[in-house]
Amino acid sequence: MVKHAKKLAFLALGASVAVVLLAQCSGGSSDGGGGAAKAGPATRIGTPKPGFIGDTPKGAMVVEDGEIGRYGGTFVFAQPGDPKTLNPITANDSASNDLLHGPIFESCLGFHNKKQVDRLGLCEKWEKSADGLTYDFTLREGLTWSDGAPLTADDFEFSYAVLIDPNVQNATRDLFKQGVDEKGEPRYPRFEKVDGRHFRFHLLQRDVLFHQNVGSIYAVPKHKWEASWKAGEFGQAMKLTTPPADLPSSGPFVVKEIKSDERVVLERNPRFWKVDREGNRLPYLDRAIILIVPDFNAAFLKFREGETDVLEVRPEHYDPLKRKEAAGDYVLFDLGPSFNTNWFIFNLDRRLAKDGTPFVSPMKQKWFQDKRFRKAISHALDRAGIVKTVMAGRGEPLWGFNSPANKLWFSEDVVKYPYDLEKSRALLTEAGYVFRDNKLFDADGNAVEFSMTTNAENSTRVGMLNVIKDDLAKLGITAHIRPVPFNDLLTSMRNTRDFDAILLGWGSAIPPDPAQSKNVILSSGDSHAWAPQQPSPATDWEKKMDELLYANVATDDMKERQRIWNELLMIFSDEQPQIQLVVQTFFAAGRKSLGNFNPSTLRPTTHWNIESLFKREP
Amino acid sequence: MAALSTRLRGLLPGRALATFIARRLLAVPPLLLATSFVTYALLYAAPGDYVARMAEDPRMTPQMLAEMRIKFGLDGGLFERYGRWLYNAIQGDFGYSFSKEIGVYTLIGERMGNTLLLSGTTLLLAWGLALPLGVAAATRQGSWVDRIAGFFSFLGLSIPRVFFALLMVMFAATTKWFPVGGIRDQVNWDTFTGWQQVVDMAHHLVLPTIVLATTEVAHYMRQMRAEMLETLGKDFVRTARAKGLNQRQVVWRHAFWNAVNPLVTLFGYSLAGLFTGSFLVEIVFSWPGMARLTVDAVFTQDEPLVMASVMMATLMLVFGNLVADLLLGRIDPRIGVGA
Repeated sequence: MVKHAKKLAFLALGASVAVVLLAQCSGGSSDGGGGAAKAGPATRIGTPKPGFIGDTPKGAMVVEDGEIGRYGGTFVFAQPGDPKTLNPITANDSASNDLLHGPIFESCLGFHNKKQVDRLGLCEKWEKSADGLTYDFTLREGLTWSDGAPLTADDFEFSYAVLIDPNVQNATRDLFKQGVDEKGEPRYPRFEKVDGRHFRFHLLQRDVLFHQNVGSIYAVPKHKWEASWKAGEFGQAMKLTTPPADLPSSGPFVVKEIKSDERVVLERNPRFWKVDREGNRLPYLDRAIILIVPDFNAAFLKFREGETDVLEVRPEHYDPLKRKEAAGDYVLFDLGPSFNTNWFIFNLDRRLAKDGTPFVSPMKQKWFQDKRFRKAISHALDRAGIVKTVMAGRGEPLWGFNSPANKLWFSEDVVKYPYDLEKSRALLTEAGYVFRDNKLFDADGNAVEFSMTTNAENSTRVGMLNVIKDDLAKLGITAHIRPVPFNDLLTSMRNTRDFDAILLGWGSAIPPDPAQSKNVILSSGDSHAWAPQQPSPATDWEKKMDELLYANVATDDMKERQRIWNELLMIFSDEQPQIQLVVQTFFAAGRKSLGNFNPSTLRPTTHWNIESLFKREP
Repeated sequence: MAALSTRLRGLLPGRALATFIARRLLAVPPLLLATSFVTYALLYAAPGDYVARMAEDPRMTPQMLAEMRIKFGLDGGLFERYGRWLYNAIQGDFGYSFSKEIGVYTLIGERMGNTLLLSGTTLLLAWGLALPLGVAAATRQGSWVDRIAGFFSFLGLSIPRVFFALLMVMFAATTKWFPVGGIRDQVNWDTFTGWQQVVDMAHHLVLPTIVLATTEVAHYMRQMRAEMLETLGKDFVRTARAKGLNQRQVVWRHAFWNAVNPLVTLFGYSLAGLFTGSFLVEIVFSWPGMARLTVDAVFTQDEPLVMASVMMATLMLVFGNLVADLLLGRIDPRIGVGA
């Protein structure tokens, strides 16, 4: 009998494990609510919980757009992937940036995603000296961090020092770099603190976009992090494990809780410095919850289940949502073309590999370097077919460098390459190519055959290559598709250069200014993907494009900048070093109960104006 | 006399047992060393590395990437890098996850609880159902109970888990009776009382547990049925019946405890699978357990995290097998651990 009992005990082991765990999980219930926060002014639009603390800051920023909302409610949305850090200076992945830049940290200047214009932020004004070498910034009066400590020029001085510290990894530092000194060390503009609310930058050379660079400084609280920076541990500051109390924010929300692969909970910053046009303090929402999901399909399911308030709609999810839109409690927004472009390049690199062989064989060099060959290919690509087959019809052909989404810099006035096989054949014949037995041969009698590569994880891109393969076959060209992991693709593109052709896409920076495409357009750029890092431009047209881009960022006369940029776009489209393909149409969905929902194609698509969002029902 | 001593060795944690355990434990370090080296070599051989992924951001310069490689210790050859890892690991320092900049212990600790909750519940359900069902099927051989049980075990063994999991997600999405994934109601969790939280978590557990348990139930039930049938045909059972014991007593007092022996061993092995057995299902149900952590780590080539996960899984396997062997030695007198 005793023996039997022992066996039973073993079998019950699993039971106890499960029960104990369940008990532990239920034990950790939250204390609920923020405690004894002082209630804000009782207005007709409900009661915020937690309430606002103190008076509205004197210099509060008035948000003019949208409806007057009501307080309360939780805003929920799903996001694929965890944020990696809570440090707005070192963050360099989109999940972290979307969380930190805006909801948690605001900068001196902001950007209106919908109108695509600069707007103010923590600063109430900025001025530039006549020679363009001094920039003055004035912070709003009465600004505080969410923990009540004053937010002053000291915080900006500290954050700028951190930003240009070579020991702190960040991608923003390069924006401020202004050449190098005699020792080869990079030089940066000098920061001068004028008083608590004023600071000044002394530039070494003119930079028309300098104010935008300052807009990309997301200041962190000096009173919390100075010690760790001085100890050389800033890289370890503001991690996901940092207690929320140590994370004062300057944005509309503060971090309340983070559970990896589960959720991020944000709560109202009770000292936020924006008001609506009737003077009600923002944000309206009490809380925001970001559900961490594995992928876009899970995000879609969560929205369809009614668990989330907004959704960035992928093309494949458009139809199921549209069918139920009339019966559902949500609306679908057509945001027009996306900022993300898709393109196709040939390897125009003339350099030799380490072992002395050319990156691209002389035979292929000859094909790819010929502008007529590239134009012929461009004419042979059925862009409408790509949209129809791989984007479920949700997209449009792209001809120029910029997506039509870019209101300020897009130009219609570029060379276009409508699908026209006759024209392709004519161009190829002119360049000495011959068609024989449905195959294309160059003037030396070589059959035209090359490989095209893209990242295997992206089925849309692989789909595009399939269409392109068929299109090229009609010209008698044999093209092989070689999908590879993203890492390998980047290694090929950036280092080993062992490819014939690549299909890839670029996203867009905010603001979407030509200055942000330096890396792509300049012949010395790392992302000048068809032939990167050139010591001096290899061709006349690349030289011309370099000159034009430098000229574009050297003046702040917008008319002139636009004229120069359009000239550059013309050369770019005529030379076809990067054959632009298509842009996807963007859609977003939001619950009808969500007020001021005004999605934009720029990130974060659905909630760039999170401080103004509100729930219509309690 | 010899039989008695074997039996004693099996029952008492004497010297032989200690030797057995010591011998098993001695085999662990070389095993871990081999596993870790192979894993590291595979990570090393895979094209690209964690830093290469950051190059996606057009603002990253090659110089910044090079700096990051040094920071993460991604410079140097295979042996140099493995040596560095091993040196720290021996001192108990498994490092920080590259992507989350959190110590791997903290990360794994957080997730292990969730994985154990799911696999523990599955274990409980699977064994709780499999044993009585197996006995019922054996004692009523050929009856409707046996046939239904047979049908379901056939189904359970043939349906691929991932497919079944996807079906269940669809079921949840269509009927809305169950959540489509996750471990708890992320939105309202804070407003729940302790009891509501337990109920909510149980609600989220239902579907993944059913998916995981179905295969296991099928497997163990068939075992139990076969063992039971064999035992019921043995002489001592006939003797018991001849003594005039009723069916209940014969089945549960005598036959069951003899038939269950081999299953106890299986139970030990299923402990070994606690850690990794639910991998695919965790992914489909967005369960925040070890699976998503490890898979993400592999995709992003987050070396410290991958290494620590593999080490943990290996240890768990060794431990599970040890428990299985000990259980076997303890329960079946014919097998002594000292042998």
